[in-house]
Amino acid sequence: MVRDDDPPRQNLGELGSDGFAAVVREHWTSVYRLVYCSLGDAHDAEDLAQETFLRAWNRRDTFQPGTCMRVWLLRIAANAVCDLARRRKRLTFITLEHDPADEQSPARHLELAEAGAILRIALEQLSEMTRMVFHLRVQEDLSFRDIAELVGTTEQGARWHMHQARTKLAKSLSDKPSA
Amino acid sequence: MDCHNVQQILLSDDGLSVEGFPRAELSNHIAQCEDCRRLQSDLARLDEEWRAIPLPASAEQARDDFLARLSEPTSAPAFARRRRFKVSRWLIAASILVALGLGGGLFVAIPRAEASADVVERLVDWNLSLARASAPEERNRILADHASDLSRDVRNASLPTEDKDLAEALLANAPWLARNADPLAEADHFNELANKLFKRLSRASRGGDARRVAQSARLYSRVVELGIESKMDVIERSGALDFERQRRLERLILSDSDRMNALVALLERAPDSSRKEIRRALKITNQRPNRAAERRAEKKNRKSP
Repeated sequence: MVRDDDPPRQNLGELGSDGFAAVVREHWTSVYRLVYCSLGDAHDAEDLAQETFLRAWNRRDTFQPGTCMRVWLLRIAANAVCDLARRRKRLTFITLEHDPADEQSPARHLELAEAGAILRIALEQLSEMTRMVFHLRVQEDLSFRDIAELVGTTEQGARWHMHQARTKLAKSLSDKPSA
Repeated sequence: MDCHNVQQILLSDDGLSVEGFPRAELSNHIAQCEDCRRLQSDLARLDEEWRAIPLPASAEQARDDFLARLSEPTSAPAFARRRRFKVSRWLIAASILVALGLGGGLFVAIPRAEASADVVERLVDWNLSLARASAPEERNRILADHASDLSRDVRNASLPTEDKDLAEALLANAPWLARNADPLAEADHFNELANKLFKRLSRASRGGDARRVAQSARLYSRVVELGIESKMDVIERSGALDFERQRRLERLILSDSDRMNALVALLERAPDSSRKEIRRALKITNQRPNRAAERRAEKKNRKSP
């Protein structure tokens, strides 16, 4: 789980709230993006990103210095997504353009709707785990070994999910009528 | 090295470095093969589009709100949940305490359960891939590629009895599917599988387990569409059937039709939380309404003078 491109190892247990704030600033986007791309809902993403960092703060003594902070946080975020799924019994996906609480301009809505087409296809066609594996590989550039450990499957299982995701998404995108 | 090998490697995103396939050989194949080059380019575009998914404008505001709470006087910040997802602070605190109390076990247990459920899904897809592959060599390759990993995953997964039985049946059927290319026999096989998945769906719906309903409905739709209907199309295109095979086909059509009716009945009884997924399963079956009825009508017409 240690990666060459990681920043210097931090001892989270010794960080005060200022140090922790720096961790939040550095990793917020990764955590938020994972949750958002898993659930497709901005409010859930905000809530679970906060919950992830809250859990991290409360468990900071368990963080092993020398391991990758980003992967540790992403694992907590992945678990938070699973917890939410359990609490709700199922995830209710809300399409981006129909979110009533999303106070954005029509132009921004259009931009999101177009660029988010792939996300909607993913939400409709892939299981949560397949979506998460695809995201962690493509966006976070994690190894299959890290991904397997993070989402709780085997390395082979992670590869299978990646294969599924790419097969289905590539087909859907090629079938999609061009605008 | 053929296109199948190359495309599997591209789809698996193994960075063109799979053991046994020299990188140079892969690159050469892609350079010379238009289909593989197109797939590589499509996949690169897919990755780019995914990376370019814009985050909502509120993402940064949420971070700033969180940081503002972090700097409040108490070191355990008051991270009140907001808007639709209203879970009070005490509930967050309680869940953290439970997680800590279990020594972090919760953090591991939940994804493990996901992984277990996911084995069944992988097995169903594996069976469907075997049935959809046309050449015997391709079937054997698909069988060999996944048999040992899936067997190991089934052994290691903590599955409920119903899923364990289903997983073992799917494992046992794979070699048969690799050997068999008779569309009618394959459709029979997937008809049995659809029955099992329908029972799983019904039980999950009765138990109010909407997550399991969703998974069962998804698998059921795939099996009906790719395992039964597509094979029936092949059978019909193949022309006249002898009496025995005609009877078997009729039984399949009736069975498909009965399940669709049962699905409609299930939808009426199902709790709200399960209905969306059942409707989705019905939509797949309904796209061909009436394919079963059409087939019965066609057969009747053929019998008429």
